[in-house]
Order: sequence, then C-alpha cells, then structure tokens
Amino acid sequence: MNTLKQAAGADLLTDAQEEALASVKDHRGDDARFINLHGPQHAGKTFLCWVLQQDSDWTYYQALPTNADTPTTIYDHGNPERKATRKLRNHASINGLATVVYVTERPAEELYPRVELDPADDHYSEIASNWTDLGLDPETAPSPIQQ
Amino acid sequence: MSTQTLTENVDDLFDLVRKSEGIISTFEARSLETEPETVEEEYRRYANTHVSLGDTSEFEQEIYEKVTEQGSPAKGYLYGPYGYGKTSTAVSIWNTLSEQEIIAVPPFTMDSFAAIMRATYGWMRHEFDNKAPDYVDDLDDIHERYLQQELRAVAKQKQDQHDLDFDKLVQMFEEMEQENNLDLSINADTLIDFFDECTELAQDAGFDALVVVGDEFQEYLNSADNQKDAESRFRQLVFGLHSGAQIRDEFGLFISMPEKTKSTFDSRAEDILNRLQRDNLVLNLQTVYGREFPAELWSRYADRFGFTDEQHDVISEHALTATGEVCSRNDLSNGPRTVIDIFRLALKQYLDTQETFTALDLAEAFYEGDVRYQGSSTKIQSAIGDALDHSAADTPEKQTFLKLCAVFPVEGIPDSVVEEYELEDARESLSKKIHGEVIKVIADGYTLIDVTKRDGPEDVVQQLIRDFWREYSVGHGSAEHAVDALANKLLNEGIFEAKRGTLDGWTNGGGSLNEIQHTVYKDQFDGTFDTRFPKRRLNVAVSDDTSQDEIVGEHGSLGEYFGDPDLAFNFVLTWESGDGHEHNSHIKKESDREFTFVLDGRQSFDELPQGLDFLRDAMDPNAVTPFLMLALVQYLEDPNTELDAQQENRVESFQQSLLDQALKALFDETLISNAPVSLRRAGKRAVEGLFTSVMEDLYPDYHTVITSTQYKDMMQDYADFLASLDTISKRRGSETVNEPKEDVAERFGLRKTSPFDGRIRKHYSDLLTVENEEAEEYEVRAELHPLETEIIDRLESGSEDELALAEVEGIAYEKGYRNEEVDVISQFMQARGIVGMNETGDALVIQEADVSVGDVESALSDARELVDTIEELDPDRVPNDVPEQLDDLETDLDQTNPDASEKLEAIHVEAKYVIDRLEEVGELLHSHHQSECDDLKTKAERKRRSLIPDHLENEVTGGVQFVGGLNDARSELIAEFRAVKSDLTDLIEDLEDARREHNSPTVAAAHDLHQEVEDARNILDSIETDTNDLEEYAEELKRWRTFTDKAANVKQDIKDYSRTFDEALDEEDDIEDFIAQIAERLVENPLDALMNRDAFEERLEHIEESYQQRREQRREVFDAKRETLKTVLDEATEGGTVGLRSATFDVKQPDESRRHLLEDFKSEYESQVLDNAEEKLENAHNEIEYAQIVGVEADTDADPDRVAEEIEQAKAKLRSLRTSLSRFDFQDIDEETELAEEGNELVTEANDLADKARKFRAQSDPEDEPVQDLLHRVENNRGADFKELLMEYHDDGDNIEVDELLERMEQLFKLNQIDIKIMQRRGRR
Repeated sequence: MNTLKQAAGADLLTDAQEEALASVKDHRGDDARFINLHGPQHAGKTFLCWVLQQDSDWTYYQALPTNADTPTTIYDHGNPERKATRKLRNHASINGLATVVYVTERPAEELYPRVELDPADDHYSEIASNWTDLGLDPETAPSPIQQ
Repeated sequence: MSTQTLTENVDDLFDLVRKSEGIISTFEARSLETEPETVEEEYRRYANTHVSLGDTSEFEQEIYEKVTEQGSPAKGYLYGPYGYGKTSTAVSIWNTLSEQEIIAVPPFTMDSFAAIMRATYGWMRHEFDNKAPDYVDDLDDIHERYLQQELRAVAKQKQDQHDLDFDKLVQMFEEMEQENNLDLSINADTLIDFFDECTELAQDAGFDALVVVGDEFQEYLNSADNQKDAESRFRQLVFGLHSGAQIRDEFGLFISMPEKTKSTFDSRAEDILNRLQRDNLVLNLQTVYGREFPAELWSRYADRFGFTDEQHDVISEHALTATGEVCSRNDLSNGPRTVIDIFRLALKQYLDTQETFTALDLAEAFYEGDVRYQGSSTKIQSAIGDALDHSAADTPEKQTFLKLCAVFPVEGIPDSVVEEYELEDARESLSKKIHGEVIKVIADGYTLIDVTKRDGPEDVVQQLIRDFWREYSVGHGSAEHAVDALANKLLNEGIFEAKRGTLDGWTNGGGSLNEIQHTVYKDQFDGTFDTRFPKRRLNVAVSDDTSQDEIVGEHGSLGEYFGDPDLAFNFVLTWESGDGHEHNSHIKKESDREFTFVLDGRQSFDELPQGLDFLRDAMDPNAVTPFLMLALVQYLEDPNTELDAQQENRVESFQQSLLDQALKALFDETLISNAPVSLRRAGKRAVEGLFTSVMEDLYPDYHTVITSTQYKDMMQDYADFLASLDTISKRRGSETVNEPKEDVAERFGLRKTSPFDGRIRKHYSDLLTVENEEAEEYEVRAELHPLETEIIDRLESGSEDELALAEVEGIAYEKGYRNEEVDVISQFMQARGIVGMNETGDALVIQEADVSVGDVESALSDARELVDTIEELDPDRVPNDVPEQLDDLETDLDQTNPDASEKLEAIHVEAKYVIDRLEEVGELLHSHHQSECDDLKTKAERKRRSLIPDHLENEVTGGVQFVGGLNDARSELIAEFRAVKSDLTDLIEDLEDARREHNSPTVAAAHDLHQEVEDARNILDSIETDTNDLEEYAEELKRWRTFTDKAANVKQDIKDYSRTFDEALDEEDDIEDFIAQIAERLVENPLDALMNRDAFEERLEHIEESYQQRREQRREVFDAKRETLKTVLDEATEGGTVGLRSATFDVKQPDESRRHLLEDFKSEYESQVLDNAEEKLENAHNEIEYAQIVGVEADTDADPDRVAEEIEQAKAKLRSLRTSLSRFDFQDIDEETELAEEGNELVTEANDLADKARKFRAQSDPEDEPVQDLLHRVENNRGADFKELLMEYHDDGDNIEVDELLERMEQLFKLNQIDIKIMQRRGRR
C-alpha cells in the first residue's frame, strides 16, 4: 500500500477519478464548506484523496480526528448518517475548518455538494494495469463489489 | 435600503442559503463546557443572520413571561418532523432569552442527565466568566460537590463489586469524566437540587432566571441502557419540576424532540407530556408552517436582502404556491428544509441565467433529482417519470402539463397556470385519455394520482378487505368472528386490558377468554377501573343475541364471601334483525351485582367513520356495521395471504382503527342513555362508569388501604409509625404528635420530608390528619381507619366483650374490604394497643390501659433509686433537671384521679422517660466502671506476669559449701512467690467474673461492678505490699550469687598461691573457716542469713587483702629483675633501646613470667646490639674489599688492609658476646656480666669501622685538567654514551684517542666520581 501511496499522482488516475477530482476542485473553487465524495468500496476514493493531498494544500485523515489544525481537510471513511454529519459541522466550527472533503460509501445525509465516484468496469482494468506498472500484484487490485 | 443591485442581493442570500442550507447542528454538552465561545459564536451568527424559519416570537415571549413571572418552574417542549427546524427554533428561543437578564443554556444534545448537568455548569461558567466573575468559584464548588457525590457513588458501587481501591477508583472516574467516557447515572432528585442551587446562584449574581434548552431529546432515550429506567428518571424530573417543591420558581426547562419521540411518549408516557405541557409552552412546528409559508419566508428574505419589489423576478408566484403545496406534505418533502433547498435552486438559476424560477422549473428540479430533500421517498420524481412513460404523453405540451400537475399535489394545477403555459388543449386531451388512471381532479384542478395523499391502507390490505367482502354475509359464520373479536379484542385486550405496575386494569391470567361454545365466552377478571375499589373480581360473559340465555343469570354466587366475584358484566352482541326495535342498545340490571350490555351490532353509518372512508373502494358502505367491523377484525387476524413484517404492522394498525370505531359505535350515547344508572360518558368509559357506580352503591362505607401496588410497605410504615408512638392516646388520635416534620417523617422510615406530603395525600388520607403544616411545629393526628372505628365501636358499645374474627371478617366483607385489608387493619388496631386477641386467638377484645397508680409509683420509686445510686457513684452525673422533674411527676400523681388511665399512662411514660435518661447515664457509668475493672485486671495480670524474678529459677552454683544453704533459701522464696501468684490469679478471675456478672449497661450493674472493683483493688494493694519484702529477699539472693563467686575465687587464688610458691598461708585456713561459718548460718536461718551478706562481704575482703599483700611482694621481686636487665640493655646501647615493656608478672604463673622476661631481654639485646654491630661490620668489610680490588684513590690515610683486620677482630668479639648471651639465665641477672660493657664496646667499634670503610667510597677531585674537563662534561648526573662523548671531543677540536678517553674515565672511576655501564650494541644480532 505504501508503494501505491508514494506513487500516487495525477498520471495514475482513471478517467472517472480525474472527473471526480476536477469536480471536488470546482466545488472548492465555489467556496463550498463541505464536499461529500462518495462511491462504492474499491472505487478508488482513498487513492483519489492521496492525489488531491499531493496536488494541493489538503491534509488527509483516515477518519474524523479529535482536533484538526489545517483549514482544508479530507476525512476518509466517514459515517454517512445525519447524526455523524451534524457532528462534522460542529467539528468544523470548533476547529475553524474552511473546507472539508468527507468521504463515504453512500451519500452522506445533509451534506452537499456531493461528488460521486462510481466508475465503469474499464476503471478497474486501468487500475490493474497501473498496479502492474508499479510492480504490485494485479490480482489483488481493486475490483467492483459484486452485488 | 440596500444600495446593492438585485444580483448582488440575490448573491448574498444565495451565499447564506447555500452554506447553511438552514441547518444548524446541535453542539454536544461537552462543547458548552470546553468550547463555549465557539458555541456562542455559531449559534449567535445563525440566529442573527437567518430569518427565523417560522414565526415563533410570540412563543418566545410567552416563555420569557412564564420563567420570570410564574409561581413555579416553567417547562415546555417543541416538536416536529425532520426538517422542520427544531434546532433553529431552539436557537432562536435561546437567543431571545439570553438577550434578557437570563442565563439561557443554549441547545445541546440532551443525551443524559449528566449531559444536562455538564451543559448547565459549562454555560453558567461561561456567562459568569464574562458577566459575574465573582461567582465563578461558588459555581465551581457546586459543580464539584455534585460531581464528587456522583463519582463517589459510582466508585463505591464498583468498589463493592470488584474489591478495588476506593481512592484510585475516584481518581480514575474523575479522569474518565473529564474525557467524557463515564456514564454517570444521576437521578432526578440530584439534578433538581443541582438546578435549584444553580438558579439561586444565578439570582445572587444578578440574573433573573436560569433556563436550560435541551435539544435532540430522542438521544436521551436512544443512549439509555434501559429505556424504562430512563423514562422513569425523566418522569421523576418532570414531576419534580412540576411540583416545584424542591426548586425555585425562576428556573425553566425546554426540550426539543422529533415528532416520533413525541408520539412514543403519547402512547407510553402520556403522564410525562401532560406535566410538561401544563404551562402551555408547547410548540408543534408542523403547525407553524402552512402552505403559505414559502411565500411568506421568501417575502421576508426579499425584505431583508432588499429586493422586495423584484422578489418575483427570482421566483414566480406560481412556483411559490407549488412549493407551498409540496412542502405542506410530509410524504413529498421535508417541510421547511425542502423550501430552503428550492430557494437555493431558484437563486442559483437566477444568478446563473437571470431567469425566473417557475413552477415548471420546480417540476423539472424534482424530476431531475436536483431537489435534495424530497421526504422519505422520491414520490414526485417517480410520479412524473411514470406519467411521462404513458403513451398518452406524446407531445411536449402534454408532458409539461403532467409535470406541472405533479407540483400541485394538494389543490391541483390552477387554471391560471394552464393558461400561462397555454396547455388547455393538452389538458383536455389528457383528461379524455388518462383521467382516473394517471390524473384526477382535486379542488382547483388536475394533479397526478400518484402524488395524491391516500388515507387508508393500501395494496395487500385492500386486497384482504376485498376478499373479506366477497365472503362476508350477516349470519352465524360472521357472528362467530364478530363475537370472538368482541370478546378477545375489544373487551379482553381493550376495555379490560392489563396494566403493569398499577392498580387499575384487569387480568384474566393472560390468554383468550374461555370459549364455552360458539359465540359464548366466559371468564373471570381481577382488577379495577377505579382505584378507590381495587382488586375486584369480575365475571365477564360474551355472546350474541342468539345465545344470551347461556350467560345471563349464569354466574353462580356473587359477592357472598371472600373469593366470590363482586360483579358480573354480560355483553350481548345483537345482529339478527327482526324485532323492529330501532334503538335496542341498552344496559340491563339483572341483579344488584349483574348487568347486561346489549350492544347493537346492526347499526349502519350515515358517513363512514373517520379513517375508514376507503372501505368504500372495497365494499358497499351501507353494509358497514359494528358487526361487520368486528368480523373483519377477526378475519384479518388470520389472513390467507402471507404478510411481511411491514404489512403485518399495517394490518394491525387497521384492525385497531376498526376496533376503535366499533367501540365507539357499540358503546354509544344510545347505550348510556338506556342504562339503569346515570352514565356520563360513552365508549370504554361507559363500562368504567357503570363499574364505579355499582361499587359506590354496593360499598358506600368502603375506604381502601390498598392505595398502590406497594401498599403493604406503605401500611407497614404506618403501623411502624403507630408502634413508635409512646402513648395510646397518640396512637389512637385523641392526642396529636407534635414534633418537627423531619422527626415525624422519620417515624415512617423517611429520611427526607419532601416525599412525605405526597404519601399522606396518596396513602394515608384516611389515617393521618395534619393539624399544623409548619415544619418546625408540625403536628399530626393518627386517625382510626373507618373499619377500625366500626369494630371498636361495636366492642365498646356492644354487650359482648369480644368480637369473633369470623364476625369481623363478615363485617369487613360486607363493607367491601378484601381479606388482605382486614389483616392490615387488624395490624393497625393491635399497633394502637386498643384491640387485641382473646386468649384462644379467635376473637378481638378491647385492651384496657393497664397502668395503675401503683405502676406509676413504682416507676417513680425506681427513678429515685437510680438517682441515689448515680449520686453515690458520681454526683456530677445526675442530670440537673431530673430531681425536679420527679418532684413534679409525684405532684401530678397525687393530683390525678386513679381512674384517669390515660393521664396515669402519660405520667408513667414520663417517669419511664426519666428512667431511660437515667439509664443512659447508667450506661456511661457502667462503661466507666467496666474500664476501671479492665484496668485493674490488666494491672493484676502485669503484676502476675513479672512477679517471680527469673533468676530464682536458676540454681546457685559455686565452689563453696554454703551454696546448698543458698539454694534452700531460694526454694523457700519461690514457694512464697508462687503463693502470691495464686492469689493474683484468684483476683483476676474474680474481676473477670464480676465483669461477666455485671455486664448489662445499667445503673445497678455499674454500682455492683464498682463495689467489686474496689474490693479487688484493696486486695491487690495488700499483695503488692507483701511482694515488696519477697522482692528484697530475691534481690539479695541475686547479690549472693556474685558474692558466692567472689568467695570461691578468693579461696581458689589462695590455694593456688600456696601451691605455686609452695608456701603455707594463714589465709588458707581463714577462708575455709569463713565459708563454713556462712554455711552454718544459712542452715540455721536461710532468709535472715541472706540479709547479712554485707558483714560476710567485709570479712571476705579482709582475707583477700591479706593474701593480696603476699602476692604483691612476689611481683616486686620480679620487677627488680626486669629493671636490672633494662640497665644492661641501656648500657650496651647507650640508651638506644626501649625494650622489656611487655614483660609482666603473673602470680599464678611465676615461671612463665620469668621465662618471658628473659626471652624479651635476649631478643632485644640480639637485635639492638649484636645484629646491629654485625650488619655494620659486614658493610665495612664489603667497602674495604672493593677498595682493595679497585685500588681506589681515596682521600684517606687509612690502610685498607689494616681496617680489614680490625673488622675481623670486632667480629670475633661479636661471636664471643653471642655465646655469652645464649648462656645467660634468670639466676645470672643480678650477677656481674660482660654483656653491658663489652656490648657497648662492640657497638662503638662497629660504628668506627663503618666510618673508616665509608671513606674509601668517598669522591675525590681529579687533579689533571683533562680529567676535570671530562668530569665537567658529565656533571649533574648527565649520562653520556661513550661514542657520543668521543665525538663531542672531536667536534670541539680535541682529537682525543679512544684509549686516552678510557684512561681519563678510569681515573674518574677510581676517584669515585663516575659509574661505568657497558652493554651490547643494538642491531648486532
């Protein structure tokens, strides 16, 4: 995973991820306080966040921390329920956050705008190819969750 | 007036709406404590920048008035569905209140009582920090106190559970509390007390009131481990606030909750909501938002942002109307939240395109999914999709029409909209094709059927109803269903439903009613409708009109004895037509205890009952009757179709609606107006009313003691209260109990007075009268229960002395009392001391007050006696007022009529009080004398333990014959000591016996104990005197042991002397005589002889002294010899020795002493004289030998050979002296000896020769210049390598040869100026 994190860069993004990244940046440009990035498991949300983090001034957190000290943050693995997003609002107020990308698997309640990352199958084949280039086992590369 | 452009104004509004979306999150209680500034800033910003969603200003004003002016704490709540701005409204309330002189705790997540406490403290601290810093410490104290109280309670609990260290637990819980990881189960009373103290402090600090605004109340229930407990605690809180007894008036609590939570409370805890809404401070947010709300809000926004005139350039009026219709519907929207979201879309569209947002845009927004808040489903979106999918929607106009229809779901699409979009043709066309299928007309126009509201159940339920209708007919088959539903659903689970934890409600033991035959049910129920008549037994029988003979009059014995049913209620459902009786609902009185409800199942409805209108779609509405409804209920009980959980819920809900309406119809006004008693209310209340009426009629004198399910405890407390009273007159109520309220409460087992009033009201209304309510002057009267009065009256006025228990039970039962109540009331009578059992235990008899004048006199006499005894023991301990009190009582007694039993009893009680007080003193005295006894015993034990000196146990030994006499004296002493020890043991046992015997803490026992202790003390004193003499003897014996040793030693020394020196001494005889004399004296009188030791000691000293003189003479001889030898040594060495110091004379070993002296002398002489001289001679010899070999050119005239010869001569002398010394003996000491003189000569010669020889080694200065030069070159011990030295010469221009240099070196060597070393050159190997 570390290899992947170190290699994270815009050139490894799939089309779907590029589109989502552009959308996140647009919303930030619109001065949105909360941006909900959502998509199914294995869609590449975390990877997208790493790229976003490298590309600009975001700080990435695996989850909602107790305190945050940078105005622009990414909170991965968020809880989409209203109770949690209300808590997020207070968290943002207390910590003086300007923009938060809140990453969830399903759309987070009361959190807009939303950016959906729900890629087509070619997204996964592109990821597998990237993994091979990085010397990672493509067998273990993300694949769509079977419904 | 804004100077900005419309776009700028709209942009500002858009920014506001877009960023907050009308959402304000509730902060956690913790944030109010740790981040109050952020909380205030967020809430304040929201409150100041947002136009309040709904107009709640009147409500807020009302809250303010209630909190500041009402004579009790204010409380209230607001509720609404999701999206209706509960938190926004709560923030608005807080904002309004906090602008007054009120401390308003802002909305926080109210998930526990601990959270409420934390938020209140946190916010008050924030307010005090800013506005009243002097009060911060007081607030911290309050908080710390309550917190510690709770923490310690939790710690105590855990300590008991797990055996852990209490202090560490407290510390750990403090840390956990700080980190919010501790769930403190604070109870309601504690919280109320906390509120009260905080309110008081707030007032002290200059605020008018304290108001707590709690939000998200559902979290309180969700986060509770046990919902029932949580509910119960909340009930106590609300009831406590409502009563206002423990809290000051200037406190307010407002909570906000979702509609769902409110509904839950409605069904489960109506009592709580009832109390919460008593101040009329309840706000249903749904009522705040009508269909006009979007237009009104938009108008307010436009006003605030300065575009009133152009407001419809942004959103059209039709769009606002449509928004109002959509947002008034819960199933299509989230109310105000959806309104704000639609505003957001409209504002964005205007900013992006400058185009007005129309009703069609609204429809498109729903259709495209742009509206974020569409309620629980996306009904509008789906409805539009389905409508557009229809083949009839084949033109853009028709599609537009259908879309617009979707956003007018309440009134339908107005003509003006149709006209605006020129859709008249499309409407007409679609009307012909899909009316009733996709669209339908409501009020103003068409709407989509899929967005219309449906009142009744849908799908599967509808199908089940249709199935039922197909099978239904008015006949026996349906009657079976209907009667079953009547018996088991309407009556068993409805009217006679069971309730837990309360007296009211009924139970048949669970399960269905007994089915006797088809359409006939019978069962027995226990319970009541009216808690004034609890625990009644009721026969319930149900049938239809064709089988009513099976139940009417078929109830056996009613109300004849305990266990019989009190009443029987028959319920007959009529369904057969034919008697032409139009209104045959009625209640018939079959007997005093049996009533029949004839229920008209045939009546039809002019209008279908509320909630059942949809039945029209499935059946003939004219056929709907209570009979049909009951049959349908039963039909749905076991449907043919398999239902999922959701469908089952819907069916159950529908069944309940049917039952509700059937109940309403069957127990209607007609029924109650045709009843044998006056009934005021229809429905279930009709049955309840009849029950109450019949009970009152049957049992007019009944006053139950079953006041709650826990009544036994309450009544036991009352009986305990009676038992605690000291006189019959108080127990009977002829005299009041007058003492502080808390003392009275304590008699009921209550530690606080606060619950006492409630208890009196609820449980003791027949048993206790409060004569004076002032807490310090509290006065109550124990009242006789009416049944007690009845029984006592009968006993006192009747001709018989006793009342058989069976008769008592008969009286009680006749009056309506339960068997268990008779037990309770009997207990009261006995506790009062009025009535007791007869000897055979089967009848009650009056207990006479049996206090006589004699009894009182005896008590007073006892008291006097106690006073006398105490005075004897310790006059200071007699209570000052007691003698006077006894005088008064004696006077009272003299003036009292001997028949005035109650007066006598009162004096007797007073006397007993005095006795009690004196016995209390006695207890102290007894304790004192017990200690005295213990102390004396300890003293005696200590004496006994150390009585016999240890040394007495050891035999006296020694080499003198009188030790036998001494041991005899020792034995005699031991025997006497043992006798004393035995006396002490007896004394100790006596004291132990006394302590055991007089162990009751009474005055008498104290007195007896005192006597025993005094006697024992005297005995102990006497023993101590006796033992003093014995101890002196023992001490003397101890000294005799030393004396014995001394005598034996002297004797032995004398004997040894005589033997060593072989000299007969007089002292030898003296000591033998002396010892024999002592032995004789000891035999004659051992103890006397012991005490004569001093005289014996003196004589022994004389003998010893005499012997010592002889010994001293021997020593002097020896010392003289030593001095002689010392002189020899001094002479030989010319005083150069200090030897012979260690040689001393031992009289017991004279030969050894002499040998030591001689050895010391020889050793010293050898070392100081002989060895010294030898060493010097040897050195001289070596020097001379060297000089002879080398041919040293010494600066001396001496001849080496001559010196060598002299050395040899000296050595010969040395050898001669060594021989003389070896032969020297002790006897030679005083003889002439050469050791002194010749020794001296030898030493002198050796020294001289050494000097001479040394000169041959002395340095001589070279005479030749070149040799001097060489010496100069190696001066100052400078070493020189031969090669370098040679080259040095050559470098200086002196080409000296090697031989020449060697020669010079040789000269210097012989002059003792240099040393020469040679060595092998390196590198040669």
